[in-house]
Amino acid sequence: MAGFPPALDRLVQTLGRLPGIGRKSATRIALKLVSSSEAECRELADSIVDARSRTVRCSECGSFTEDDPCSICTDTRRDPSVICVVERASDVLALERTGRFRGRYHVLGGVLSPLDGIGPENLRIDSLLARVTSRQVTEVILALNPTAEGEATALYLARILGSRGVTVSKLASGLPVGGDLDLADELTLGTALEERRAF
Amino acid sequence: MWIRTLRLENFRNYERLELELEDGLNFLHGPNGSGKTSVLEAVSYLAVARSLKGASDNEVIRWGQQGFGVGADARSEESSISIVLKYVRGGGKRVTVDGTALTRLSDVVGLLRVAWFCPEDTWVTKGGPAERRRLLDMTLCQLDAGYLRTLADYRRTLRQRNEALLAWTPGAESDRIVDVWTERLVEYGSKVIAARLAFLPRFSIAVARVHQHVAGGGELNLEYRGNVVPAADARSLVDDLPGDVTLAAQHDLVEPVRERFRDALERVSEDERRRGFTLVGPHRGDLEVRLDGRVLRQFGSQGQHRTAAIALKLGEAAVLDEEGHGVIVLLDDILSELDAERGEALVECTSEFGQTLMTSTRLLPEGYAGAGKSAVFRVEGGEVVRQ
Repeated sequence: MAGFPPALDRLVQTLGRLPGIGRKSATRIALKLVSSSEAECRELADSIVDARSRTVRCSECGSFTEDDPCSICTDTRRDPSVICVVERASDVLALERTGRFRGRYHVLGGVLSPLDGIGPENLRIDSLLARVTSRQVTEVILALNPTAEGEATALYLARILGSRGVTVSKLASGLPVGGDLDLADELTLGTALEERRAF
Repeated sequence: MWIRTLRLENFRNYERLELELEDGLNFLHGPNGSGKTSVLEAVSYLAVARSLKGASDNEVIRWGQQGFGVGADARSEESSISIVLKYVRGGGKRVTVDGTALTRLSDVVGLLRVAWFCPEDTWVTKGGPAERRRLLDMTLCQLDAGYLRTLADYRRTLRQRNEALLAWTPGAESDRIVDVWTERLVEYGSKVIAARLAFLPRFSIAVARVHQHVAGGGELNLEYRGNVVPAADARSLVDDLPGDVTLAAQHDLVEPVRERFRDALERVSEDERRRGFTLVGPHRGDLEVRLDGRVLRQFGSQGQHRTAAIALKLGEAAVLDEEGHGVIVLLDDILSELDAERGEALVECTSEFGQTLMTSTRLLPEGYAGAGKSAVFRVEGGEVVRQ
Protein backbone atom coordinates (compact mmCIF):
# COMPACT_ATOMS: atom_id res chain seq x y z
CA MET A 1 0.00 0.00 0.00
CA ALA A 2 1.38 3.41 -0.99
CA GLY A 3 1.91 5.62 2.06
CA PHE A 4 1.71 9.38 2.45
CA PRO A 5 4.57 11.59 1.21
CA PRO A 6 7.30 11.74 3.90
CA ALA A 7 6.54 15.24 5.24
CA LEU A 8 2.81 14.54 5.56
CA ASP A 9 3.55 11.19 7.16
CA ARG A 10 5.79 12.89 9.72
CA LEU A 11 2.98 15.32 10.55
CA VAL A 12 0.56 12.40 11.09
CA GLN A 13 3.09 10.67 13.35
CA THR A 14 3.69 13.85 15.38
CA LEU A 15 -0.01 14.59 15.81
CA GLY A 16 -0.64 10.96 16.74
CA ARG A 17 1.62 11.34 19.77
CA LEU A 18 -0.75 13.90 21.29
CA PRO A 19 -3.14 12.72 24.02
CA GLY A 20 -6.56 11.63 22.80
CA ILE A 21 -5.55 11.60 19.14
CA GLY A 22 -5.40 8.23 17.44
CA ARG A 23 -4.15 7.47 13.97
CA LYS A 24 -7.47 8.23 12.32
CA SER A 25 -7.87 11.65 13.94
CA ALA A 26 -4.20 12.46 13.28
CA THR A 27 -4.67 11.71 9.59
CA ARG A 28 -7.84 13.79 9.41
CA ILE A 29 -6.18 16.78 11.09
CA ALA A 30 -3.03 16.48 8.97
CA LEU A 31 -5.03 16.36 5.72
CA LYS A 32 -7.04 19.41 6.81
CA LEU A 33 -3.81 21.27 7.60
CA VAL A 34 -2.06 20.55 4.31
CA SER A 35 -5.11 21.69 2.40
CA SER A 36 -5.44 25.00 4.29
CA SER A 37 -3.52 28.19 3.51
CA GLU A 38 0.04 28.72 4.62
CA ALA A 39 -1.10 31.67 6.76
CA GLU A 40 -3.50 29.47 8.68
CA CYS A 41 -0.79 26.89 9.30
CA ARG A 42 1.64 29.62 10.34
CA GLU A 43 -0.90 30.92 12.82
CA LEU A 44 -1.31 27.48 14.39
CA ALA A 45 2.44 26.87 14.53
CA ASP A 46 3.05 30.31 16.03
CA SER A 47 0.36 29.90 18.64
CA ILE A 48 1.89 26.59 19.75
CA VAL A 49 5.41 28.04 20.04
CA ASP A 50 4.10 31.23 21.63
CA ALA A 51 2.04 29.37 24.25
CA ARG A 52 4.97 27.13 25.01
CA SER A 53 7.44 29.98 25.50
CA ARG A 54 5.12 32.18 27.57
CA THR A 55 3.62 29.53 29.83
CA VAL A 56 5.47 28.61 32.99
CA ARG A 57 4.61 26.78 36.18
CA CYS A 58 3.64 29.01 39.08
CA SER A 59 6.44 28.63 41.63
CA GLU A 60 3.85 28.75 44.43
CA CYS A 61 1.03 26.44 43.39
CA GLY A 62 2.43 24.67 40.33
CA SER A 63 -0.41 25.74 38.05
CA PHE A 64 0.15 27.11 34.52
CA THR A 65 0.65 30.85 34.29
CA GLU A 66 2.29 33.59 32.22
CA ASP A 67 3.25 35.64 35.26
CA ASP A 68 4.91 33.93 38.17
CA PRO A 69 3.36 33.75 40.77
CA CYS A 70 -0.01 33.19 39.11
CA SER A 71 -3.07 35.42 39.37
CA ILE A 72 -4.70 33.17 41.97
CA CYS A 73 -1.64 33.10 44.24
CA THR A 74 -1.31 36.90 44.06
CA ASP A 75 -5.02 37.67 44.45
CA THR A 76 -5.21 39.32 47.88
CA ARG A 77 -8.95 38.80 48.03
CA ARG A 78 -8.39 35.05 48.20
CA ASP A 79 -7.95 33.36 51.55
CA PRO A 80 -4.29 32.31 51.95
CA SER A 81 -5.07 30.14 54.97
CA VAL A 82 -6.89 27.46 52.94
CA ILE A 83 -5.08 25.34 50.34
CA CYS A 84 -6.83 22.96 48.01
CA VAL A 85 -4.56 20.14 46.80
CA VAL A 86 -5.25 18.77 43.30
CA GLU A 87 -3.59 16.24 41.04
CA ARG A 88 -3.30 18.30 37.85
CA ALA A 89 -3.51 21.90 36.69
CA SER A 90 -6.70 21.06 34.79
CA ASP A 91 -8.35 20.25 38.14
CA VAL A 92 -7.78 23.90 39.16
CA LEU A 93 -9.84 25.00 36.17
CA ALA A 94 -12.61 22.56 37.09
CA LEU A 95 -12.75 23.83 40.67
CA GLU A 96 -12.55 27.47 39.57
CA ARG A 97 -15.56 26.94 37.32
CA THR A 98 -17.60 26.16 40.43
CA GLY A 99 -16.88 29.68 41.72
CA ARG A 100 -17.23 28.27 45.26
CA PHE A 101 -13.64 28.14 46.39
CA ARG A 102 -11.96 31.29 47.63
CA GLY A 103 -8.70 29.85 48.90
CA ARG A 104 -5.58 28.90 46.98
CA TYR A 105 -4.40 25.80 45.18
CA HIS A 106 -1.51 23.40 45.14
CA VAL A 107 -0.93 21.16 42.12
CA LEU A 108 0.77 17.86 43.05
CA GLY A 109 1.62 16.91 39.50
CA GLY A 110 0.41 13.32 39.89
CA VAL A 111 -0.41 10.72 42.53
CA LEU A 112 1.59 8.05 44.31
CA SER A 113 2.05 4.99 42.13
CA PRO A 114 4.85 2.55 42.98
CA LEU A 115 4.00 0.64 39.78
CA ASP A 116 4.98 3.69 37.74
CA GLY A 117 7.89 4.49 40.02
CA ILE A 118 6.15 7.59 41.40
CA GLY A 119 6.95 8.24 45.04
CA PRO A 120 6.53 11.35 47.21
CA GLU A 121 9.83 12.73 45.90
CA ASN A 122 8.36 12.88 42.37
CA LEU A 123 5.36 14.95 43.49
CA ARG A 124 5.26 18.56 44.64
CA ILE A 125 4.93 17.55 48.28
CA ASP A 126 7.99 19.33 49.71
CA SER A 127 6.75 22.65 48.38
CA LEU A 128 3.30 21.93 49.85
CA LEU A 129 4.86 21.30 53.26
CA ALA A 130 6.96 24.45 52.91
CA ARG A 131 3.82 26.49 52.14
CA VAL A 132 1.95 24.98 55.07
CA THR A 133 4.80 25.65 57.51
CA SER A 134 5.85 29.10 56.41
CA ARG A 135 2.41 30.67 55.77
CA GLN A 136 -0.56 30.83 58.09
CA VAL A 137 -2.30 27.83 56.58
CA THR A 138 -5.06 26.43 58.76
CA GLU A 139 -6.84 24.04 56.41
CA VAL A 140 -5.78 21.77 53.57
CA ILE A 141 -8.53 20.36 51.35
CA LEU A 142 -7.58 17.19 49.49
CA ALA A 143 -9.36 17.19 46.14
CA LEU A 144 -7.89 14.05 44.60
CA ASN A 145 -9.69 11.53 42.41
CA PRO A 146 -11.40 8.68 44.29
CA THR A 147 -9.23 6.04 42.61
CA ALA A 148 -6.97 3.54 44.42
CA GLU A 149 -3.97 5.84 43.82
CA GLY A 150 -5.82 9.07 44.62
CA GLU A 151 -7.09 7.66 47.92
CA ALA A 152 -3.63 6.36 48.90
CA THR A 153 -2.07 9.74 48.10
CA ALA A 154 -4.74 11.54 50.13
CA LEU A 155 -4.04 9.23 53.06
CA TYR A 156 -0.30 9.83 52.78
CA LEU A 157 -0.79 13.61 52.75
CA ALA A 158 -3.27 13.47 55.63
CA ARG A 159 -0.70 11.62 57.72
CA ILE A 160 2.20 13.98 57.12
CA LEU A 161 0.01 17.09 57.38
CA GLY A 162 -1.79 15.85 60.47
CA SER A 163 1.34 16.23 62.56
CA ARG A 164 1.65 19.87 61.50
CA GLY A 165 -1.46 21.14 63.20
CA VAL A 166 -3.59 21.92 60.16
CA THR A 167 -7.11 20.74 59.54
CA VAL A 168 -7.15 18.23 56.69
CA SER A 169 -10.41 17.62 54.83
CA LYS A 170 -11.39 15.63 51.77
CA LEU A 171 -13.97 16.27 49.08
CA ALA A 172 -17.23 14.46 49.77
CA SER A 173 -18.28 11.70 47.41
CA GLY A 174 -21.96 11.19 46.91
CA LEU A 175 -25.03 11.88 44.87
CA PRO A 176 -24.94 13.91 41.68
CA VAL A 177 -26.91 17.13 42.04
CA GLY A 178 -30.33 16.95 40.42
CA GLY A 179 -30.12 13.16 40.16
CA ASP A 180 -32.69 10.61 41.18
CA LEU A 181 -31.97 8.38 44.16
CA ASP A 182 -33.23 5.30 42.35
CA LEU A 183 -30.92 5.96 39.41
CA ALA A 184 -27.72 6.25 41.46
CA ASP A 185 -25.52 3.15 41.47
CA GLU A 186 -25.27 1.20 44.72
CA LEU A 187 -21.67 2.15 45.43
CA THR A 188 -22.32 5.89 45.08
CA LEU A 189 -25.53 5.73 47.08
CA GLY A 190 -23.81 3.57 49.71
CA THR A 191 -20.95 6.07 50.06
CA ALA A 192 -23.39 8.96 50.25
CA LEU A 193 -25.19 7.15 53.06
CA GLU A 194 -22.00 6.38 54.95
CA GLU A 195 -20.78 9.96 54.60
CA ARG A 196 -24.13 11.57 55.43
CA ARG A 197 -24.08 14.64 57.61
CA ALA A 198 -26.27 16.20 60.27
CA PHE A 199 -29.16 18.22 58.91
CA MET B 1 -32.93 -11.41 30.48
CA TRP B 2 -32.83 -13.80 27.56
CA ILE B 3 -31.45 -13.21 24.12
CA ARG B 4 -33.87 -13.07 21.22
CA THR B 5 -31.51 -11.93 18.50
CA LEU B 6 -27.74 -12.23 18.59
CA ARG B 7 -25.52 -10.40 16.09
CA LEU B 8 -21.83 -10.90 15.34
CA GLU B 9 -19.67 -8.81 13.04
CA ASN B 10 -16.06 -9.63 12.18
CA PHE B 11 -16.02 -11.83 15.26
CA ARG B 12 -13.76 -14.93 15.06
CA ASN B 13 -14.65 -16.69 11.80
CA TYR B 14 -17.95 -14.82 11.35
CA GLU B 15 -18.03 -11.93 8.94
CA ARG B 16 -21.65 -11.30 9.80
CA LEU B 17 -24.16 -13.42 11.66
CA GLU B 18 -27.68 -12.80 12.86
CA LEU B 19 -29.15 -15.56 14.95
CA GLU B 20 -32.66 -15.86 16.34
CA LEU B 21 -32.48 -17.73 19.65
CA GLU B 22 -35.27 -19.45 21.53
CA ASP B 23 -36.20 -19.76 25.19
CA GLY B 24 -35.02 -23.06 26.61
CA LEU B 25 -32.30 -25.12 25.00
CA ASN B 26 -30.47 -23.88 21.90
CA PHE B 27 -28.32 -26.72 20.68
CA LEU B 28 -25.46 -25.93 18.31
CA HIS B 29 -23.69 -28.84 16.67
CA GLY B 30 -20.98 -29.07 14.05
CA PRO B 31 -17.37 -30.15 13.51
CA ASN B 32 -14.44 -28.81 15.52
CA GLY B 33 -13.35 -25.31 14.56
CA SER B 34 -16.66 -24.54 12.85
CA GLY B 35 -17.47 -21.58 15.12
CA LYS B 36 -19.79 -23.02 17.77
CA THR B 37 -17.83 -21.75 20.74
CA SER B 38 -17.53 -18.30 19.12
CA VAL B 39 -21.29 -17.87 19.46
CA LEU B 40 -21.03 -18.53 23.20
CA GLU B 41 -18.01 -16.27 23.43
CA ALA B 42 -19.96 -13.43 21.79
CA VAL B 43 -22.64 -13.80 24.47
CA SER B 44 -19.96 -13.61 27.15
CA TYR B 45 -18.74 -10.32 25.66
CA LEU B 46 -22.23 -8.89 25.95
CA ALA B 47 -22.60 -10.09 29.53
CA VAL B 48 -19.20 -9.39 31.09
CA ALA B 49 -17.42 -7.38 28.36
CA ARG B 50 -14.79 -10.05 27.83
CA SER B 51 -14.19 -13.53 26.54
CA LEU B 52 -15.01 -16.19 29.10
CA LYS B 53 -12.64 -18.39 27.15
CA GLY B 54 -9.87 -16.10 28.32
CA ALA B 55 -9.01 -14.80 24.83
CA SER B 56 -7.70 -11.28 24.34
CA ASP B 57 -9.82 -8.75 22.46
CA ASN B 58 -7.42 -8.74 19.50
CA GLU B 59 -7.58 -12.52 19.25
CA VAL B 60 -11.30 -12.59 18.55
CA ILE B 61 -11.17 -10.09 15.67
CA ARG B 62 -11.81 -11.78 12.33
CA TRP B 63 -8.62 -12.23 10.34
CA GLY B 64 -7.54 -9.10 8.48
CA GLN B 65 -10.11 -6.82 10.19
CA GLN B 66 -9.55 -3.85 12.50
CA GLY B 67 -12.24 -4.57 15.05
CA PHE B 68 -15.37 -6.51 15.90
CA GLY B 69 -18.91 -5.92 17.07
CA VAL B 70 -21.42 -8.05 18.96
CA GLY B 71 -24.99 -7.16 19.77
CA ALA B 72 -28.13 -8.61 21.25
CA ASP B 73 -31.78 -7.83 21.66
CA ALA B 74 -32.80 -9.38 24.93
CA ARG B 75 -35.96 -9.40 26.96
CA SER B 76 -37.39 -10.60 30.21
CA GLU B 77 -41.03 -10.86 31.22
CA GLU B 78 -41.18 -7.18 32.07
CA SER B 79 -38.67 -5.39 29.89
CA SER B 80 -36.43 -5.52 26.88
CA ILE B 81 -32.96 -4.23 26.22
CA SER B 82 -30.59 -3.86 23.31
CA ILE B 83 -26.85 -4.14 23.95
CA VAL B 84 -24.06 -3.51 21.46
CA LEU B 85 -20.34 -3.90 22.18
CA LYS B 86 -17.78 -2.69 19.68
CA TYR B 87 -14.03 -2.98 19.77
CA VAL B 88 -11.49 -1.33 17.51
CA ARG B 89 -7.89 -2.49 17.67
CA GLY B 90 -5.98 -0.12 19.94
CA GLY B 91 -9.12 1.87 20.65
CA GLY B 92 -10.76 -0.02 23.49
CA LYS B 93 -14.24 -1.45 23.92
CA ARG B 94 -17.41 0.62 23.85
CA VAL B 95 -20.85 -0.46 24.89
CA THR B 96 -24.17 1.09 24.02
CA VAL B 97 -27.34 0.08 25.80
CA ASP B 98 -30.58 1.02 24.06
CA GLY B 99 -28.60 3.44 21.93
CA THR B 100 -26.94 5.24 24.84
CA ALA B 101 -23.17 4.86 25.28
CA LEU B 102 -22.04 3.67 28.70
CA THR B 103 -19.36 5.83 30.31
CA ARG B 104 -17.94 2.86 32.20
CA LEU B 105 -17.51 -0.42 30.37
CA SER B 106 -18.07 -2.34 33.59
CA ASP B 107 -21.61 -0.95 33.83
CA VAL B 108 -22.68 -3.54 31.28
CA VAL B 109 -21.93 -6.38 33.72
CA GLY B 110 -25.09 -7.71 35.30
CA LEU B 111 -27.52 -6.68 32.56
CA LEU B 112 -27.34 -10.13 30.99
CA ARG B 113 -26.25 -12.76 33.47
CA VAL B 114 -24.33 -15.79 32.23
CA ALA B 115 -22.96 -19.00 33.69
CA TRP B 116 -20.32 -20.60 31.47
CA PHE B 117 -19.29 -24.24 31.63
CA CYS B 118 -16.56 -25.77 29.45
CA PRO B 119 -14.58 -29.06 29.58
CA GLU B 120 -11.71 -27.55 31.62
CA ASP B 121 -14.19 -26.60 34.32
CA THR B 122 -14.79 -30.26 35.14
CA TRP B 123 -11.52 -29.99 37.11
CA VAL B 124 -12.49 -26.91 39.06
CA THR B 125 -12.72 -28.84 42.34
CA LYS B 126 -9.44 -30.64 41.81
CA GLY B 127 -7.05 -27.93 40.60
CA GLY B 128 -5.59 -24.88 42.33
CA PRO B 129 -7.59 -22.22 44.17
CA ALA B 130 -7.36 -19.59 41.38
CA GLU B 131 -10.09 -21.23 39.28
CA ARG B 132 -12.46 -21.57 42.21
CA ARG B 133 -11.80 -17.97 43.19
CA ARG B 134 -12.58 -16.95 39.63
CA LEU B 135 -15.89 -18.78 39.74
CA LEU B 136 -16.76 -17.00 42.97
CA ASP B 137 -15.71 -13.59 41.65
CA MET B 138 -17.45 -13.94 38.28
CA THR B 139 -20.70 -14.81 40.03
CA LEU B 140 -20.44 -12.00 42.57
CA CYS B 141 -19.51 -9.45 39.91
CA GLN B 142 -22.70 -10.25 38.02
CA LEU B 143 -24.82 -10.05 41.16
CA ASP B 144 -23.32 -6.89 42.59
CA ALA B 145 -21.85 -4.02 40.55
CA GLY B 146 -20.19 -2.68 43.70
CA TYR B 147 -18.25 -5.93 44.09
CA LEU B 148 -16.83 -5.63 40.59
CA ARG B 149 -15.48 -2.16 41.24
CA THR B 150 -14.17 -2.98 44.70
CA LEU B 151 -12.42 -6.09 43.35
CA ALA B 152 -10.77 -4.05 40.58
CA ASP B 153 -9.61 -1.48 43.15
CA TYR B 154 -8.34 -4.28 45.38
CA ARG B 155 -6.30 -5.86 42.59
CA ARG B 156 -4.85 -2.50 41.60
CA THR B 157 -3.97 -1.70 45.21
CA LEU B 158 -2.44 -5.15 45.68
CA ARG B 159 -0.08 -4.56 42.76
CA GLN B 160 0.82 -1.11 44.04
CA ARG B 161 1.46 -2.45 47.53
CA ASN B 162 3.61 -5.30 46.26
CA GLU B 163 5.70 -2.79 44.35
CA ALA B 164 6.00 -0.63 47.48
CA LEU B 165 7.04 -3.70 49.51
CA LEU B 166 9.62 -4.60 46.90
CA ALA B 167 11.09 -1.09 47.08
CA TRP B 168 10.95 -1.01 50.89
CA THR B 169 14.11 -0.17 52.84
CA PRO B 170 14.31 0.23 56.63
CA GLY B 171 13.18 3.72 57.65
CA ALA B 172 10.14 5.78 58.58
CA GLU B 173 9.44 7.14 55.09
CA SER B 174 9.46 3.72 53.45
CA ASP B 175 7.18 2.42 56.23
CA ARG B 176 4.79 5.32 55.71
CA ILE B 177 4.47 4.50 52.01
CA VAL B 178 3.79 0.81 52.68
CA ASP B 179 1.34 1.80 55.43
CA VAL B 180 -0.90 3.90 53.19
CA TRP B 181 -1.15 1.05 50.70
CA THR B 182 -1.85 -1.30 53.59
CA GLU B 183 -4.74 0.93 54.69
CA ARG B 184 -6.22 0.97 51.19
CA LEU B 185 -5.70 -2.79 50.83
CA VAL B 186 -7.63 -3.35 54.05
CA GLU B 187 -10.39 -0.99 52.91
CA TYR B 188 -11.04 -2.76 49.59
CA GLY B 189 -10.03 -6.26 50.69
CA SER B 190 -12.40 -6.33 53.68
CA LYS B 191 -15.32 -5.56 51.38
CA VAL B 192 -14.27 -8.34 49.01
CA ILE B 193 -14.01 -10.89 51.83
CA ALA B 194 -17.24 -9.71 53.46
CA ALA B 195 -19.11 -10.15 50.17
CA ARG B 196 -17.69 -13.64 49.66
CA LEU B 197 -18.60 -14.70 53.21
CA ALA B 198 -22.12 -13.31 52.90
CA PHE B 199 -22.61 -14.99 49.53
CA LEU B 200 -21.39 -18.46 50.46
CA PRO B 201 -24.37 -19.76 52.49
CA ARG B 202 -26.85 -19.10 49.68
CA PHE B 203 -24.43 -20.43 47.06
CA SER B 204 -23.74 -23.55 49.09
CA ILE B 205 -27.45 -24.33 49.40
CA ALA B 206 -28.00 -23.89 45.65
CA VAL B 207 -25.02 -26.10 44.80
CA ALA B 208 -26.03 -28.82 47.27
CA ARG B 209 -29.52 -28.92 45.79
CA VAL B 210 -28.23 -29.42 42.23
CA HIS B 211 -25.72 -31.98 43.41
CA GLN B 212 -28.43 -33.98 45.15
CA HIS B 213 -30.34 -34.04 41.89
CA VAL B 214 -27.45 -34.96 39.58
CA ALA B 215 -25.59 -37.39 41.84
CA GLY B 216 -28.66 -38.81 43.51
CA GLY B 217 -26.88 -38.77 46.85
CA GLY B 218 -24.00 -37.37 48.84
CA GLU B 219 -24.02 -34.01 50.54
CA LEU B 220 -21.94 -31.29 48.91
CA ASN B 221 -20.97 -28.34 51.05
CA LEU B 222 -19.04 -25.14 50.27
CA GLU B 223 -17.05 -23.01 52.63
CA TYR B 224 -14.87 -19.96 52.06
CA ARG B 225 -11.28 -20.45 53.13
CA GLY B 226 -8.82 -17.61 53.46
CA ASN B 227 -5.85 -16.50 55.47
CA VAL B 228 -7.54 -13.38 56.82
CA VAL B 229 -10.47 -14.84 58.74
CA PRO B 230 -9.94 -18.40 60.06
CA ALA B 231 -12.70 -20.82 59.03
CA ALA B 232 -14.17 -21.31 62.51
CA ASP B 233 -14.15 -17.57 63.12
CA ALA B 234 -15.82 -16.92 59.75
CA ARG B 235 -18.47 -19.48 60.56
CA SER B 236 -19.36 -17.80 63.84
CA LEU B 237 -19.36 -14.34 62.22
CA VAL B 238 -21.87 -15.54 59.64
CA ASP B 239 -23.89 -17.55 62.18
CA ASP B 240 -24.26 -14.45 64.35
CA LEU B 241 -25.99 -12.58 61.54
CA PRO B 242 -29.73 -12.26 62.04
CA GLY B 243 -32.14 -14.10 59.73
CA ASP B 244 -31.32 -15.71 56.40
CA VAL B 245 -27.90 -14.69 55.19
CA THR B 246 -28.09 -12.89 51.86
CA LEU B 247 -25.55 -10.84 49.98
CA ALA B 248 -26.87 -7.72 51.70
CA ALA B 249 -25.35 -9.03 54.94
CA GLN B 250 -21.91 -8.19 53.54
CA HIS B 251 -22.19 -4.67 54.97
CA ASP B 252 -22.51 -6.01 58.50
CA LEU B 253 -19.41 -8.15 58.01
CA VAL B 254 -17.08 -5.43 56.71
CA GLU B 255 -16.17 -3.99 60.12
CA PRO B 256 -15.24 -7.30 61.84
CA VAL B 257 -13.35 -8.44 58.72
CA ARG B 258 -11.49 -5.12 58.55
CA GLU B 259 -10.26 -5.61 62.11
CA ARG B 260 -9.03 -9.12 61.33
CA PHE B 261 -7.41 -8.11 58.05
CA ARG B 262 -5.48 -5.37 59.82
CA ASP B 263 -4.31 -7.83 62.50
CA ALA B 264 -3.35 -10.46 59.93
CA LEU B 265 -1.23 -7.95 57.99
CA GLU B 266 0.34 -6.76 61.21
CA ARG B 267 1.40 -10.31 62.02
CA VAL B 268 3.15 -10.82 58.67
CA SER B 269 4.46 -7.27 58.39
CA GLU B 270 8.12 -8.17 58.89
CA ASP B 271 7.90 -11.21 56.68
CA GLU B 272 6.26 -9.19 53.89
CA ARG B 273 8.95 -6.55 53.98
CA ARG B 274 11.60 -9.22 53.73
CA ARG B 275 9.94 -11.12 50.92
CA GLY B 276 8.62 -8.14 49.01
CA PHE B 277 4.99 -9.08 48.43
CA THR B 278 1.60 -9.27 50.12
CA LEU B 279 1.12 -12.53 52.00
CA VAL B 280 -2.46 -12.31 53.26
CA GLY B 281 -5.68 -11.15 51.65
CA PRO B 282 -8.61 -12.23 49.49
CA HIS B 283 -6.26 -12.88 46.57
CA ARG B 284 -5.27 -15.99 48.48
CA GLY B 285 -8.82 -17.09 49.25
CA ASP B 286 -10.28 -20.44 48.21
CA LEU B 287 -13.55 -22.21 48.00
CA GLU B 288 -13.43 -25.47 49.90
CA VAL B 289 -15.71 -28.16 48.53
CA ARG B 290 -16.62 -31.01 50.82
CA LEU B 291 -18.48 -34.18 49.94
CA ASP B 292 -20.09 -35.86 52.95
CA GLY B 293 -17.77 -33.88 55.20
CA ARG B 294 -14.52 -34.77 53.42
CA VAL B 295 -12.46 -32.37 51.33
CA LEU B 296 -13.17 -33.33 47.74
CA ARG B 297 -9.89 -32.03 46.36
CA GLN B 298 -7.97 -34.55 48.47
CA PHE B 299 -9.91 -37.73 47.94
CA GLY B 300 -12.48 -37.28 45.19
CA SER B 301 -12.71 -39.73 42.31
CA GLN B 302 -12.83 -38.49 38.74
CA GLY B 303 -16.57 -39.02 38.62
CA GLN B 304 -17.12 -37.18 41.89
CA HIS B 305 -15.12 -34.19 40.64
CA ARG B 306 -17.17 -34.03 37.47
CA THR B 307 -20.47 -34.20 39.30
CA ALA B 308 -19.29 -31.56 41.77
CA ALA B 309 -18.25 -29.30 38.87
CA ILE B 310 -21.72 -29.59 37.32
CA ALA B 311 -23.25 -28.79 40.69
CA LEU B 312 -21.01 -25.72 41.13
CA LYS B 313 -21.81 -24.38 37.67
CA LEU B 314 -25.53 -25.03 37.80
CA GLY B 315 -25.58 -23.75 41.39
CA GLU B 316 -24.00 -20.58 40.05
CA ALA B 317 -26.70 -20.39 37.39
CA ALA B 318 -29.42 -20.94 40.00
CA VAL B 319 -28.09 -18.13 42.19
CA LEU B 320 -27.83 -15.77 39.21
CA ASP B 321 -31.38 -16.71 38.25
CA GLU B 322 -32.82 -15.73 41.64
CA GLU B 323 -35.16 -12.77 41.96
CA GLY B 324 -36.47 -13.52 38.49
CA HIS B 325 -33.55 -11.88 36.74
CA GLY B 326 -33.01 -14.82 34.43
CA VAL B 327 -29.72 -16.42 33.49
CA ILE B 328 -28.25 -17.63 30.22
CA VAL B 329 -26.38 -20.89 30.63
CA LEU B 330 -23.52 -21.44 28.20
CA LEU B 331 -22.37 -25.05 27.94
CA ASP B 332 -19.36 -25.48 25.71
CA ASP B 333 -18.70 -28.99 24.42
CA ILE B 334 -19.55 -30.37 27.80
CA LEU B 335 -21.19 -33.61 26.69
CA SER B 336 -17.82 -34.91 25.50
CA GLU B 337 -16.59 -34.78 29.09
CA LEU B 338 -19.55 -36.45 30.72
CA ASP B 339 -20.96 -39.94 30.51
CA ALA B 340 -24.44 -40.32 29.08
CA GLU B 341 -26.13 -40.38 32.45
CA ARG B 342 -24.51 -37.20 33.80
CA GLY B 343 -24.96 -35.54 30.41
CA GLU B 344 -28.65 -36.20 30.45
CA ALA B 345 -28.98 -35.02 34.04
CA LEU B 346 -27.18 -31.82 33.06
CA VAL B 347 -29.47 -31.11 30.13
CA GLU B 348 -32.49 -31.83 32.29
CA CYS B 349 -31.25 -29.47 35.01
CA THR B 350 -30.68 -26.61 32.60
CA SER B 351 -34.30 -26.82 31.48
CA GLU B 352 -35.30 -24.98 34.66
CA PHE B 353 -33.36 -21.92 33.53
CA GLY B 354 -34.74 -19.57 30.93
CA GLN B 355 -32.17 -20.06 28.21
CA THR B 356 -29.29 -22.41 27.49
CA LEU B 357 -26.82 -22.37 24.63
CA MET B 358 -25.05 -25.67 24.25
CA THR B 359 -22.42 -26.79 21.76
CA SER B 360 -21.46 -30.31 20.73
CA THR B 361 -19.72 -32.06 17.88
CA ARG B 362 -22.53 -34.59 17.86
CA LEU B 363 -26.29 -34.38 17.76
CA LEU B 364 -28.17 -34.51 21.02
CA PRO B 365 -28.96 -38.19 21.69
CA GLU B 366 -32.55 -39.19 21.00
CA GLY B 367 -34.73 -39.44 24.02
CA TYR B 368 -32.85 -36.89 26.13
CA ALA B 369 -35.23 -35.10 28.42
CA GLY B 370 -35.82 -31.71 26.87
CA ALA B 371 -34.29 -32.72 23.56
CA GLY B 372 -37.65 -32.60 21.86
CA LYS B 373 -38.39 -28.95 22.48
CA SER B 374 -34.93 -27.62 21.81
CA ALA B 375 -33.90 -25.43 18.90
CA VAL B 376 -31.18 -27.21 16.92
CA PHE B 377 -28.60 -25.35 14.85
CA ARG B 378 -26.06 -26.80 12.45
CA VAL B 379 -22.79 -24.83 12.51
CA GLU B 380 -20.30 -25.18 9.70
CA GLY B 381 -17.67 -22.86 8.21
CA GLY B 382 -18.97 -19.65 9.71
CA GLU B 383 -22.61 -20.35 8.93
CA VAL B 384 -25.35 -21.27 11.33
CA VAL B 385 -28.48 -22.96 10.01
CA ARG B 386 -31.58 -23.67 12.10
CA GLN B 387 -32.74 -27.25 11.61
